Amino acid sequence: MSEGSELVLDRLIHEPARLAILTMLSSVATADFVFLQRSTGLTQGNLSSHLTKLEKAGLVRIEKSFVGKRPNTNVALTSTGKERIASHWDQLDQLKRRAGASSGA
Amino acid sequence: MERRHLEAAAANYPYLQGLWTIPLGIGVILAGISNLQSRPTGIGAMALILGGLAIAGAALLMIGRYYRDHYGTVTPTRDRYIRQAVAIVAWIAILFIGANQALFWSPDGPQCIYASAFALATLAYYAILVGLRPHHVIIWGAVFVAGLLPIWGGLGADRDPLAMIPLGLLAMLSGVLDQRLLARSFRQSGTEQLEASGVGG
Repeated sequence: MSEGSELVLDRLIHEPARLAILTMLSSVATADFVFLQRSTGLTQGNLSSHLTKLEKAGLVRIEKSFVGKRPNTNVALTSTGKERIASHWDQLDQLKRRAGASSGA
Repeated sequence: MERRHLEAAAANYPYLQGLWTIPLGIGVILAGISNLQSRPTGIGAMALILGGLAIAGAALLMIGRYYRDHYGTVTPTRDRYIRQAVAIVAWIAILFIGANQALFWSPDGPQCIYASAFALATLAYYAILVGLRPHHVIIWGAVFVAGLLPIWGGLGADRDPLAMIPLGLLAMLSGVLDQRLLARSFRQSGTEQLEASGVGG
């Protein structure tokens, strides 16, 4: 996207909780549900709801398994998810630069 | 809240789990005690070593459970695994060189090259893996300098084993401070902080 073109932020990703989830997933191979819940501060229900939306959009892959007798949910970004979150942060950076330029003008 | 804070909170999580240094520190202390020329002997000494090992083993299990249940689990990326391997190799290499210097160059010298090498190796490990934080520089920088000061004379063959006792304790202190850093990074990455910063929404 060029500097002059109109920036359209992805509403699905721009929601703060989902932005945090996707950004953290972008720096690891996988993260489990407990990690995402603890690091985002979301309730179990809220996190489940966000993850379901992200999975339906094809941005994350969710794998449920058992570790011993304990259920374990692992989450990873899909390749689409990796592209979309990187592009989203690029757009936010561009917006910041534009805001900086217009306030400095 | 910025992108890099969120990314660092996840990427550094496996390496800032500082409580692991408690059993590690106990191991270093026990290794020091058992290598002393004038080490304690008898049933009491055996009980000390075995008791220490039992505490370290129990701590390993409890810490593993604590992190899994309270903070969860992440799988690092391949790049991070490679960086971790480089950090471990650097730690071992620096310590090995330092130990050789201590053994062959100054066996009865007034300095403790082993302590300095341990500190330098630990600084290199953290620098490669998560970046140096102020407490790393203060603790291990002080140990590095202390090892080079001519204050270790007269200890003979007990010099390096004796040094391992404070090294083990300082490794635990450094780890506890890593743990504090980890807890803080979790608080900072929370979505309430994210919303308050105006990102997203």
